[in-house]
Amino acid sequence: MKEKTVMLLHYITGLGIIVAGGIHLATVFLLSPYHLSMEFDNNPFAVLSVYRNILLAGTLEVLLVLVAFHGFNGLRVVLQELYQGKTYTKAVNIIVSVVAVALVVYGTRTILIAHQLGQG
Amino acid sequence: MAGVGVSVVVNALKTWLIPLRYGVERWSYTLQRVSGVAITLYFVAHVVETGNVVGGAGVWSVPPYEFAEMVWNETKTFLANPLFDAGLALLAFMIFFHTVNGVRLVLAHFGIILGKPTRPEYPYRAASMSKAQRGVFWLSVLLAVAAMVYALDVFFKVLQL
Amino acid sequence: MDRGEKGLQEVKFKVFRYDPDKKDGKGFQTYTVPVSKGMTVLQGLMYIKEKLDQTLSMRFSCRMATCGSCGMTINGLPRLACYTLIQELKTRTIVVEPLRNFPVIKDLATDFEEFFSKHRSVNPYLIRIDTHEQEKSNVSYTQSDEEVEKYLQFAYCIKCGLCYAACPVVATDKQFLGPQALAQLYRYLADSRDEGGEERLRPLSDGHSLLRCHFAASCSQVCPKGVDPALAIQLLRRELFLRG
Repeated sequence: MKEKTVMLLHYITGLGIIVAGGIHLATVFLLSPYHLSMEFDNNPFAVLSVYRNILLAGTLEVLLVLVAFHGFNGLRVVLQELYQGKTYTKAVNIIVSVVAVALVVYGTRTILIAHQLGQG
Repeated sequence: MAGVGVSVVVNALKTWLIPLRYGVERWSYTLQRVSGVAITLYFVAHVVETGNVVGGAGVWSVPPYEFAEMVWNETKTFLANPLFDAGLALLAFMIFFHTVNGVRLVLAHFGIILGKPTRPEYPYRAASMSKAQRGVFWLSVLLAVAAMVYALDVFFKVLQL
Repeated sequence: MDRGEKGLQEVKFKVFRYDPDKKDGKGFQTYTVPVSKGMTVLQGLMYIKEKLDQTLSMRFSCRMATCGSCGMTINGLPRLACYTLIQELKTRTIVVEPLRNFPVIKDLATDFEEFFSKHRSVNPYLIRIDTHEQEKSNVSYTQSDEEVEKYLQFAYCIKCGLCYAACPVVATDKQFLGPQALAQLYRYLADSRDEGGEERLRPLSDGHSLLRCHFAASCSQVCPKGVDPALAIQLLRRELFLRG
């Protein structure tokens, strides 16, 4: 992928995070008190209730992918500015992508299983 | 070889982390960079920590309900620490700063809130440091402080709102 | 009041010294220089060279902020020595160092080779599709006031290297073209007589040339000619995203 496209995606994912992250923060802080949002499963905004709701769980998945891309691309840019060299650049690209994908896989697992757990 | 590596890192950190003498845009550059890295690190910790909702890293199929609930409650007890709460309040500052300042940067990268090229007649003020984009910078600081105060209130009940 | 007047009479110059021929050549040397009203840092350095220490090396020429030779770090900021009044600095000790991000040749003289090669790499001249016309033409191209306004500011660049020294990206990423070269690239791209267009933009879509700019605007902060490279880079990036 061209670096120009990557940076455009960086901006687009950033703007997407404002929406998805806004919903995420609103469910935790604004729509119900924080200590109730942290409960396991006995009120409409408890942790498992959020995963049970297909729309909110979907938002979490979208947020996961967006932040993984945006955050790790940012990290990649910082690391590439630190030092330049063919092997170094390649190594940074690979390591950053692997960690980001691993994190998305792990987070998706959480969302999928928690969603099924909520169906009970 | 290792000596060169260390000096590269030290030089980089000096230029990235010391924004003195150059004005607010340099501060925004440093804060954006620091907050971005901090949020990404938090994101990693957050994804790992919320994995405990279903019982932790070893669980790859639907676990017993009671087991998951137990692990989650253990996680909650572990996280109930004023140090973590203070860290989250700082993170609230960083997230809001990074977001609003990020919008400013995207707009600036498309030349939107910047001034137009003009003949520099003195006393001269660079069009790249337009009032509009300086305003958005200060707005991001303001919102970030507000978010931090709100977070402190949520975690420590300071304001009793 | 009294102290301020005294401060005007004498100032200490803490000057960076480096001699490539000596082993322990790096360090600072302090000189005391008598100061009169309206005296510039460059005049102070010339006093040192004439009266106190002939071995001091620096580069200067026009003494009126036109040639761009005497760029150096004065009290922590890149400035033109000829354009900086000693009074304005309001310090009793003036720290003078070579420009950052440039290799030091000797004392305050720095090597501009990399800087100029980046400047050359952006083709800082008008490109016409008709090459015959470009070489042999004797017609003049007319431009409206608005068309001139679009690039004139960026054409004031004197290549003094202050923006290059101030840039936090150049400090760590040597493949980044730097504020000066990018501003010049935009100056020709925005010129209505230039037909370089996409040819100019194409090399920029890689990671390092342009996109590593994070708009710290330090370049515009230090520019002595009001060129505003930060603005040029943002407008250049807009062109790259929208039509490159």
